[in-house]
Amino acid sequence: MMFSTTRNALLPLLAAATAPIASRTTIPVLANVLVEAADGRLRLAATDLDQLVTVGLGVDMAQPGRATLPGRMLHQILAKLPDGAPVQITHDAQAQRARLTAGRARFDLPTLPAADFPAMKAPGEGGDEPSRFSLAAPQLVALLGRPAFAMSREETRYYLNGVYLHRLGERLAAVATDGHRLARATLAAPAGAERIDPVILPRDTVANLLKLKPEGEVTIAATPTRVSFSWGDITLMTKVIDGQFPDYERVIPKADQQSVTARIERKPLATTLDRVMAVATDRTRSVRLALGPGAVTVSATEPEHGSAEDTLDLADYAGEPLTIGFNGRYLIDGLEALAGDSVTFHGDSAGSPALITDPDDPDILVVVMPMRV
Amino acid sequence: MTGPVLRRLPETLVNQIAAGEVVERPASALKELVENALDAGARRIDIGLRSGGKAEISVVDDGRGMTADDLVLAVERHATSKLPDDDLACIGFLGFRGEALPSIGAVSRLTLVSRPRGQDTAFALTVDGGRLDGPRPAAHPPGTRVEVRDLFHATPARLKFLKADRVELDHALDHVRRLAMAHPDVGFTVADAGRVVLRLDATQGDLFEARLERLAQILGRDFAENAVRIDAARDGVRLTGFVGLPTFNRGTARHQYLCVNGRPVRDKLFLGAIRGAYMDVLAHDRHPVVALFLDLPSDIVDVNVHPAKAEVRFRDGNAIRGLIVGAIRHALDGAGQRASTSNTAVALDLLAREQQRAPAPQFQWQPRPGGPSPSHALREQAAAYQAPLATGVAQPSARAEMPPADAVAELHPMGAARAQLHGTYIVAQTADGIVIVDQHAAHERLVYERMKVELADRGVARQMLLLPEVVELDAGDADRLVARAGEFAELGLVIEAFGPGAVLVRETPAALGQSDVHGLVRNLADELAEMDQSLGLKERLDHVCATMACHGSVRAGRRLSADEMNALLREMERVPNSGQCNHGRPTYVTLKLGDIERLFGRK
Ligand SMILES: Nc1ncnc2c1ncn2[C@@H]1O[C@H](COP(=O)(O)OP(=O)(O)OP(=O)(O)O)[C@@H](O)[C@H]1O
Ligand SMILES: [Mg+2]
Repeated sequence: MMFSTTRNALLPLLAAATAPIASRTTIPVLANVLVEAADGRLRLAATDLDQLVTVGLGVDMAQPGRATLPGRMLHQILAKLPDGAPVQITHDAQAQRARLTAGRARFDLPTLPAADFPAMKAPGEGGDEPSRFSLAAPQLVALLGRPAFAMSREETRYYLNGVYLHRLGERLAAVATDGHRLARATLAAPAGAERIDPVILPRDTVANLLKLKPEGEVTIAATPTRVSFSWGDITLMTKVIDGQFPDYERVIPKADQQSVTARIERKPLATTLDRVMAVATDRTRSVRLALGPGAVTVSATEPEHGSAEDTLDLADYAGEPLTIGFNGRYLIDGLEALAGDSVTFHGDSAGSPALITDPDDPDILVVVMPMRV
Repeated sequence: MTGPVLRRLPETLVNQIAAGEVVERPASALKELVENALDAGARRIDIGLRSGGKAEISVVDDGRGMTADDLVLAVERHATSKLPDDDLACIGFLGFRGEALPSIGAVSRLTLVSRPRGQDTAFALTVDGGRLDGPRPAAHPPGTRVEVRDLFHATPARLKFLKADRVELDHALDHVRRLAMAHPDVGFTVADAGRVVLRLDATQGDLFEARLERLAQILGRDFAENAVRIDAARDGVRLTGFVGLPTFNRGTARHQYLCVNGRPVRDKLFLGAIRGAYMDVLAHDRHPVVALFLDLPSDIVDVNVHPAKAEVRFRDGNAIRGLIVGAIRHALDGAGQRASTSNTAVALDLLAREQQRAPAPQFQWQPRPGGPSPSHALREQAAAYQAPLATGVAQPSARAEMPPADAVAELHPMGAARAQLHGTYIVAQTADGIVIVDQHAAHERLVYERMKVELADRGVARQMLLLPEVVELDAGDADRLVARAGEFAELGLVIEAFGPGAVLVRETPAALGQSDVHGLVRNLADELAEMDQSLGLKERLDHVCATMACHGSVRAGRRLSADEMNALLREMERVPNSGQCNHGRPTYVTLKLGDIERLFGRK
């Protein structure tokens, strides 16, 4: 194998391709990136066995071939080459070595046979026909990225360790919950997503997808076991979590059935919470919200650490005054997932879940379960 | 005055004395009756109890049945159909003494109704305080029904020692479960006061499938999913069954079952062997869940050493022990990946020897002379199990990105975190050495201390659950937990009954953050079952605090960021008592530079 390209063309693609490479792995080939050159195109791929990222690139090709090269090392070398440097890579299959030359710099890298690189079937490959649809990149990022904060890290309920993507009537919905709070983003289901089977996208996949910053149109192909996201020359393919996401809809309070509603400025509420929580312990982070017509008082009392209180104006209050406790962190996370200037708080009692919505954006909602303090 | 007269005891008294040995409590009578039903080839056994068996026990089977003549013989002492060759060394049934029915008859009102297969009429026989009534014709389908009423009514002394209904019922269920494990092809139901409290449908499939299914019914699906199959044989002795992965551990040794030739036994040798097999992979206060079945020629095991047949004696105990330890270790090794640590073993050996000379700090490490260390392999395997989605492969978690050197942090007594090893240990650099912290143990202690402070100050903050969790347990465990719901609520855990054999968790102590609710509840149940009844409320609360803390703590196996590690170290400095975990193990060890230099022969 032999091809030439430039550092600047290769580096961003390599950065993307090596995203799934874990910092340490016991399977050597998983630390490598698969490099395939054929028909004037270069394909790079890396995997952690659960997800696989591939990127493509047109190059000047002298000789086709395939090999796997140490991913991190290759990335570092490219990053340290001067801007715009031309790069040539040759692979000697016999010696299992690859040589990278750039100007007068030469790097010899060990390789592993391409045959060792684990294959991963694309959605629908040798199985049922996948649902295929496209979304503009910002839409996809908002759909999966906004609820992502609520994904659980607790491993025994593994089916909560991801974002649940599914059809909800005419909409496509993404939900995450850790059992204490829940967030849901929706958008009008694009053509092709009519029959999508519900899937749980693993948290690593969601994190990687957001890190890769998709651009343009993203094409999604989904089967009950595998999902792929493709844009430009990049494809992220992932297995999904094999589990049953709980029937979450019944725990979302109905906005029109809550006895208390209030409109509160979003950012000021978050900063107030943050300020008051300075005295709350890291562990419980408990804060109390005393809501009433015209104002909400946020307070925290910790016998060891002291107490704090701050008051914020609110608008459109309806209902009796309500005092309710929360994990302040949960509220802040939820407020950050919303984008508008203000939020609507819907509550019923100190013992029932609170619903936080954006009066100008029906596509996102956050539910937070109170804390008894 | 006449002196005492030497005389033969009346038959009734003899039987009552024998009964004292055989029938200790309702559960032991029940066990004898179920064994008889199994010996009679029953496929289905339905058990009814009242007041935990104190008022009534009935066992209905669809087995061979007895004729009118058999019935009369059956309640006579030393009448048995189960030793056809008069050879105690050759026991093929659970019964062999012909003692159970007469003993039970001596201390209760006993009624047998039976119809042999292929016959039209059934006969009934009643024994009341040793007096026979019958046999008289009766109506009954093929099989046998045995009813025991008012057990011990004739021996008030024994009656006094019986415990609450609930406790007696637990004992009865325990016996049924143990017998049912050995007989997966037989269906069982147990009803208490008419309410079905245990139902075990007959299972199908080959021996292993059927057993695994039965174990899942009894020990929970989790066990089946976390169990490794055992199948080993040596010198005509075969050991089969399933043992739990080390990660699937419990707080007590209550869940270790052994059957010898279909007979559930409790055996010290067995418990010791289990401890030995898991020694390297489990903390000393954690216990694996195992169910093993030994089948061996009846001439090399003596089952006639305990009045209730609860113990056995092996002719060659060491061989049996070796077989058990070897088979389990082999199976567990097969379940993990081996990680070789030749240098480490030598280094640790040296280190340990140095430590013996220097009194402080205390080391608990067991040097392992050469060879691979299965504990690492298992721990990795465990981590992979807990995070099936992460990669599918175990990964050592030493961090590539080292936290930047922080001269200020190094001045702290616990130093600056430098790395996390095996997802379990934090290595920190101090001004004059290194500190190795067991992250789980340390964090557990911190959570515990915090809970105690909170509890004392103002009660515990409780996080309500958006999705309440149903935890399945056995009926006894569930009832015990629910009975204490008030105490738990004070500690922040709000549970309620959820049908028989399950509790619903609605709120958890906020201090626990996101934690494994199922594991917590199951451990609490185990502890309640084991704890001394007389333990005061305060101790119990402390104990519960400790268990809860253990669950809220960072698990071994979770990767921590540099900030998380440093935060843990800073908190350890602040909190008193943080040097020991709740189980008394050290949470960290310190190595001075001098120690390390000695290790490398530099001094
Ligand atoms: N459910 C039953 N179905 C058929 N036969 C039974 C049943 N229960 C008891 N028998 C008969 O009654 C006899 C006496 O039972 P008993 O339990 O007293 O003694 P055993 O089972 O022979 O020995 P052990 O005292 O060790 O239990 C048995 O040997 C058996 O023949
Ligand atoms: Mg018997």
